[in-house]
Amino acid sequence: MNMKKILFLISIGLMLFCSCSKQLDKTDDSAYTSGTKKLNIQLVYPDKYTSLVRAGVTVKVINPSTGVEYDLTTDANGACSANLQYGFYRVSVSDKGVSESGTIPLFNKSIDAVKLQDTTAGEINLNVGLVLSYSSQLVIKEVYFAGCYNPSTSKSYYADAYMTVFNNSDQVAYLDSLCFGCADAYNSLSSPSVWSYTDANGQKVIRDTIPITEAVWQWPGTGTSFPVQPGKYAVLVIRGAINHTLVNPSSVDLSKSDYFVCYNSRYTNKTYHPTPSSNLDGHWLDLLWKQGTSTAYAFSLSSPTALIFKIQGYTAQEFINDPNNRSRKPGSSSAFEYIMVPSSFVLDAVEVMRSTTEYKRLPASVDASYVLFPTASNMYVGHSIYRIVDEAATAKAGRTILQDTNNSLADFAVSDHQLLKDEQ
Amino acid sequence: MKKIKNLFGFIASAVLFICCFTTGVEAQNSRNAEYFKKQQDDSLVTFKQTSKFEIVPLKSAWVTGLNAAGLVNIPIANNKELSYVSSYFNYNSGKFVKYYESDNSNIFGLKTESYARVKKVAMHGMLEYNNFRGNNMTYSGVIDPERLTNFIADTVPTSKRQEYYKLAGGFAFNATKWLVLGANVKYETSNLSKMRDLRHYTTYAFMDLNFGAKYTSDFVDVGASYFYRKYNEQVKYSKVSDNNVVYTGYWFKGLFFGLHDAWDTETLYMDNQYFISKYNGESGQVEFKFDDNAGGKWRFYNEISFYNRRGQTGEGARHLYSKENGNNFSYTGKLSYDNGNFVDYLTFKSAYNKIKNNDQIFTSQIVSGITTVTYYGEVQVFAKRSFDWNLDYRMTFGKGAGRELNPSVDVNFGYEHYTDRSNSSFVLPYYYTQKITYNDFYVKARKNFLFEKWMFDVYAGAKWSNGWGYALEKHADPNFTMTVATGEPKPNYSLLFREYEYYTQPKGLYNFGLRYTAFLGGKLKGNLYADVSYTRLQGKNIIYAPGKYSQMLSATVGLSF
Repeated sequence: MNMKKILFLISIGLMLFCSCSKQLDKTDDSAYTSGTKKLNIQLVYPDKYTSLVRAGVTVKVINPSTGVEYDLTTDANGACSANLQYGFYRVSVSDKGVSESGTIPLFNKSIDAVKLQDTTAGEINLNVGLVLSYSSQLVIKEVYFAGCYNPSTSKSYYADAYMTVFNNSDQVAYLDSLCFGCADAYNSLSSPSVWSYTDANGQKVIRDTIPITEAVWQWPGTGTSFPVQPGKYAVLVIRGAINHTLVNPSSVDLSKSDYFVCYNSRYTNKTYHPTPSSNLDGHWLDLLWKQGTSTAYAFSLSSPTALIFKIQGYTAQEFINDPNNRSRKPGSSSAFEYIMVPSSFVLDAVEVMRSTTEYKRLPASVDASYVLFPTASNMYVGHSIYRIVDEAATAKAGRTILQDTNNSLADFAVSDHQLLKDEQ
Repeated sequence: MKKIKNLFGFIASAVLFICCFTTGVEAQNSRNAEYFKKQQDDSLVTFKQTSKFEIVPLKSAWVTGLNAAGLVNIPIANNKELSYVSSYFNYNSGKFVKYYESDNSNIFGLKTESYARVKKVAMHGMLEYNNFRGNNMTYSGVIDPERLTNFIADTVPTSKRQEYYKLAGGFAFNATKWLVLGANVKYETSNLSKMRDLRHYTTYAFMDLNFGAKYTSDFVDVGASYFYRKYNEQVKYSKVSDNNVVYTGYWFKGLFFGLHDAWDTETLYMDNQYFISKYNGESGQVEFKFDDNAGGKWRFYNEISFYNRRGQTGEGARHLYSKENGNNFSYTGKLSYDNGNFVDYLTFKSAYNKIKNNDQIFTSQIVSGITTVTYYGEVQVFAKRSFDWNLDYRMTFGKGAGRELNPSVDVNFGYEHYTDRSNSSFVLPYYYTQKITYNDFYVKARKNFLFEKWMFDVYAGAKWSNGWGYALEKHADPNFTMTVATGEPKPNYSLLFREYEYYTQPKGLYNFGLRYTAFLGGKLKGNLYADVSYTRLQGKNIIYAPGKYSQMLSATVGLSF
């Protein structure tokens, strides 16, 4: 084999080496040059509030597959756009106007499953019609639901759930005839809610009437029986209204005389519904409606929704008894019925989700987002969710004002212990 | 008349002389035949007693190549065979192991293998079983996470048990004087169980089919083959105890980025997950042959191959979570010289691989009992390219009887270079790259001492490795216009740095061993051997792995015939 052939083979080899080396460098290129689609978002305010269209409003785009949240900022026309990877996104907007008659108008909208599909030609245009609501006098302050650890038995303990309702105004508020319930489904969803519908833009939107599942509780009273002073709160015991610290030092004492309890003889499970302490006589909520055969009130251990609402135009019992206000679950053959409460009746609500990859149950008009409560780090360790203080409003008013934008992602945080223990 | 009598006398004497001589020749031929047969029988006995099975495939690059027809080149004569049955036991300890391996394990196995040529058809068969027990294992639900682009994992270290079965067989024959055809199949299956919560049960199956043809001539052999491989792995996680402990599960999607949450979160699909890969490939071979006047045989073997790899995570249909695709280009060149006593081989191998994995974005909804799946498209989450090459020189020397497959001296040294670049693009706009490069230098030597009724081998080897690169570098897509509020991805740094350290930190691998072989006579012609060896892997400047060394003690007992 002569020298020319040898050199030829060596040069071929070197060329192949260099080629492979250059191919390796291609790995450093951005992977996002393909597989994306442009999303154009236009905010639409209610008729009376079109003057609020402006630059600088934050639009949140959340990818439920990965949990990442992007912030876009509107231009002067109230529009923004972005290139996003194929997939489905949650778009949510929270804005507020100037104070009107002592209340602040809130504009919220959340659209689940905005679709960016590779089979769809062109860009995606999305009109986000903002829904008007107002901040409430009574707000949910804390919800404790995920149980704690009992060092005496080395087991988890979850018979001690409670919720607190706070008077966020400067006027006395009354709990009389206030209703409490949870929305379907008990736990956060791994697929879009069956209660959602497809709007004119082809996007999945959660309906504005909220399906209350299993039970509707109501505070008793004649109208002024149970006042809550400004800056104060009332405790609603969802399970056992007893002193749990006697059996579990990590738990709380829920046997105080000014507490209220969800207790009714139709719930026969004595572990979760022991006879309340006599301190709570006269403070039992009325069970207006119960569906199903459950022996304990099913309040999610991992991802509940909690709503406080006031029926308007009827008594609560009349409202529930009207079959027009009840519905079966779409697509289900079960006879189980849900009480459909308009979002306008809701004074406050909070939704908890276990991960960003799950789907909302509440419409944006009552809660534009959710509190993230990952199971792995929060279950059975005494954690609770609580509404944070609006520092600016508090400083201005000279009294504690909790943040209320009807967006629990902004309004709530996770506490590493039951806050009620701090005051016991 | 006198002349006629003399003629008859001469003829009679001649006939008598011829008869006597012929009778002697026949007797001599018969004795010669017996002598030669005995020589052959003795030669066969010697061959069986002294041959090392592992030398058989070394004699021709075709036997270990990607062409099933190459089996016809095994150095086994017609209607002869060489086989062995062995049992082995390995004990491993030491904490300088990969993140998913055990620092205290043992494996017991049985293996039998045979090369044979029956009526000019070359055959190969192999059957192996082993049982593995390892302690302190976690961070992988699959058997070999480095083979895959994504995998699921737990975080609780405990013991695992694995059973492994392998069955392989092949044949090759001369269809015509110049055409050889062949086929082979390999099948492996394994079950791996984790013995404590969060426990998993993994089943693995691998199949390799190869069909090849070869044109043979005096000066050049040309071959081509097609091969198909399929890996199928199923992982099922479960929890047996009824306590309220919440275990964390991971779904790693490249460079240890991915999802993690409570293991039974629906989006992790840890209760039942599939990892399937299929390879379709072709290879081509050319071997130039030259026999010199001194009896030396020069062979220059060249093989190129290409395969594409298609894989998926998920069983398929509405349970299809990601798709992978990739390619591999390989070249092997082997120059050998064999003069019967001295054989040397110069081998060059190189391979270029690229693979990428795309997540399938979809939603699934059950309405009125009907499941509706909506697909949005594929999003690339991981890509990897690698290039490696190896230059190896081996020399064997052995003269005289009993040395055909049993060199007296066997020396081997070489150099290996490996580079890979990985890109994890799990969350727009961020993508993270990694570069790993390492070099290995190695040397091995073996000396065989041959006696009348037994032989003894002593061997040792060493490999030094060093690498460089970077574990993780962050980039952002230059066309991104939004702000990332939350959700910037974070990898599992401890695993990432531990894996990077394992490949790039200086380390040495040392091995030595002894083998005693006793020749068997009688009806069973062959040998009985026992082999023990010790191997130690020693790392330098190790921070992330819990130890700086690991070691293995191996023992094998076998019967070769």
